[in-house]
Amino acid sequence: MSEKKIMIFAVIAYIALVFVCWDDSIATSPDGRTILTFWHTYNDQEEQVLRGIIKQWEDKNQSFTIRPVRIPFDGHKAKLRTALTVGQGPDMARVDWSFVCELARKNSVLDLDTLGFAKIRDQYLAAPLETAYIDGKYYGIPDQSTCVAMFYNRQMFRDAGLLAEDSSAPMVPQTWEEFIEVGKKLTDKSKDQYAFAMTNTLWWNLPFFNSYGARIISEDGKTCVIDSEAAVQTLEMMASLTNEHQIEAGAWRPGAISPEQGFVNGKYAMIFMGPWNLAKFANTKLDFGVGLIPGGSKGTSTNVGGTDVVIFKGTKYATECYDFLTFFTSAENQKDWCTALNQLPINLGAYDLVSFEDPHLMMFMEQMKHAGPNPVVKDYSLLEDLVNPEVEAVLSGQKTAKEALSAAQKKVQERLIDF
Amino acid sequence: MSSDNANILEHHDRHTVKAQRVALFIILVGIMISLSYVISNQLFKFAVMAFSAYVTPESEKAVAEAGQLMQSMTVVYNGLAVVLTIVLTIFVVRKFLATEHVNRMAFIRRMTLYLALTIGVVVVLFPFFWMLCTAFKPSGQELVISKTNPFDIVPSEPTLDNFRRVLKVDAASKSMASVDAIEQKKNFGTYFLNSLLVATTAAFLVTFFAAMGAYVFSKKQLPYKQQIFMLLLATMMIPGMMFMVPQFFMVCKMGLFGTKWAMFLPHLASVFGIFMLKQFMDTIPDSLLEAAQIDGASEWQVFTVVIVPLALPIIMTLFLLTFLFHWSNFLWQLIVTNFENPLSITLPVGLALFRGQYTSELGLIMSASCFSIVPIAVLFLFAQRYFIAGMTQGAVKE
Repeated sequence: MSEKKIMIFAVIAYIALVFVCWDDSIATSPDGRTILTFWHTYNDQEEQVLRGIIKQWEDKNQSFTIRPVRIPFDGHKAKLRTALTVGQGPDMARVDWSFVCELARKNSVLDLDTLGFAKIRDQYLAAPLETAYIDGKYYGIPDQSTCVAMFYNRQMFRDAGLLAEDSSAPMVPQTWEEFIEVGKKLTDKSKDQYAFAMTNTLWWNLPFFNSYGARIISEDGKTCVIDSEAAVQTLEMMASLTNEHQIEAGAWRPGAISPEQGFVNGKYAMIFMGPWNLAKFANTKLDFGVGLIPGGSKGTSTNVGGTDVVIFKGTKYATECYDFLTFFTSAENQKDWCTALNQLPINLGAYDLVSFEDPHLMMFMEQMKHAGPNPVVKDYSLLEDLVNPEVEAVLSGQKTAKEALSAAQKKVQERLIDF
Repeated sequence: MSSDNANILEHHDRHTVKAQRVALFIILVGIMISLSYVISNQLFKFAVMAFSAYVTPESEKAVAEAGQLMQSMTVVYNGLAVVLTIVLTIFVVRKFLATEHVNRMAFIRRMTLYLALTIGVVVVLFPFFWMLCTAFKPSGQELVISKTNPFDIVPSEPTLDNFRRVLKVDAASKSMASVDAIEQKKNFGTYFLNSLLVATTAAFLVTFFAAMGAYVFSKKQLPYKQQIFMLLLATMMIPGMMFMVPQFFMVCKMGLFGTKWAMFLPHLASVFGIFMLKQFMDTIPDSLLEAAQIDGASEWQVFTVVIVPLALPIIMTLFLLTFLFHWSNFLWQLIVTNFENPLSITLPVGLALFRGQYTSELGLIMSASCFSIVPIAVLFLFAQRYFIAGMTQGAVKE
């Protein structure tokens, strides 16, 4: 084909493209009902269940319709920040737990107590609910919650003689001391095989800190307490896993094999992981189990992840939004949601109604009861950025735990809380 | 006697040289055989894998069935790879034997070059091959590495589910699509065409404006030209993020939120483009323009007949760079997208919908990426000779 022909072809193709795609008007079926927009970040399966619940709610509220709009989780913060500045925001949205504080401090979401949240507050799990508790008020309702627990590779346990051939009982160590003992038996450096692998980000490290009862931010949110005695003890224990006992693979180093990849390939015997990977791991045909995270001085504990739903101040129909969101997170609907999607309920009422066939999920339900508080700050990613390098300095042996944590405390206090 | 000795020595020398050549050739053939077997084995295995995934109907047990089908065809791809390798070896050896002794060293040199190039191609194409293979893996298996051979990345239990879900032709999506018109439009095809339109329009307009701007800055007399140019360059020192919120504000005030205009309008003035084209146009001799003017060419003619054809290589480069920028510009397009209307969603934003809070659907991302690299690959194929022309022309300065 000559160059001229290619050019002509390209031009014709382009003009056709303009004709087909330029117009972006779409029929939005306005049938007289008031539209409430709900921005969410659910995936395909979740959205389908959500639509079912919306339909039930619409049957009871004939004059309203809820339009679920999916936005990508990556970038939902940027999207909301910019949309709210020009008044293009939704009526309500599902946001990452760490984002509620920023929205509340920037005065863009409603204080739920004005809508009567105090009456029904007790039905939600405490740890996820606390992520929406800012300056003495509740600004969000948890809609989905997760935590991490200890995944272990049964085959590797069997090979190390730690699990009887026919036993299915979880053999995960109860305390960090036992964990180190067991870890030594599971580690075989000649085969590049390690007992444990961890990533170094604050959220993934919270199970360690929480099991020693070490808070990052004080309860009133006014001081950073990451340099407490308990935190120093925690960090020393974490560093000893890699350095002194050498049972951790150093997966926190840049470029190392990630815990997830090492685990599915049988390189790491134990990792922290959340329930979101249960189905995926089952597909790998790996023989794995889930156990509680070993306990420190305060027993087993874990972190809280997930999302909260919030109502924006820009909405004209706050009562209806609130009504829908409480309906959405009620025990009945949580039961349907969790059974259909194999997720952990956030409603205590649903805890009695839900029963999973998967023993791993039941273990997560147990672990969730011991979840510790997450640090609630205005800019959570900045908190990570300030703390993670200091923790890494300790893990790689450049600083002592005390030095690093008091440096981190100073930075967090200056740049995040007093600022 | 002495001449006899010399003869024998020479003869001996020739023998060692010959032996050396043959030894070298054998080593090269060895490398070639292993390379050929490994590559063709993977390619044939991939073909068999794609075939098995394709013929297995969508069902719960599809993955296992496709795996069995593949297992039963192990002989086929291994056999094909062996046959191909043998044929190639025979071909090369015959060619070598047919070559005259004097030319054999040249033959060996050429063969080394081809082998090195093959290795280069493998290194370059490996990530793409990996992407294709991952797209066929069922959820959860993306990160699993084969224990027997870590370089064997073709899945042994393939599935087309990722492609089906991306293109929304799987069962679950079909039931969703019946909800309303909005749901029907939420598919990869819409995002792909939107991105194609946005990226080509933007690339065309940017090169057009930048070429005119560069022409003025390079060839025209203008008061304070140098200072204005410096001022323009200074804006490149400010990170683009700084403009994002003000630009978004302006776009919304113009009522363009969620439209295609919003996707590229703020990026039409490209200082980088003007700078790049001006540097190139500086190398075009003024005498050419003067000659054209003497022949009676108007300003527009000088620009279109003299400047643009001469600067075509660099203009094509700018076109490609701009296209790439808009093809993958996530943050800006995310901000101006109206998610209530799927007709305003572009590819980078659409791809991000596959990532959750903690999990990424790697298989889905990879299968969508398979489609998204196609326009870039096509553009590169057509534009590559301009690249090379641009490089050599830019090297010569008057």
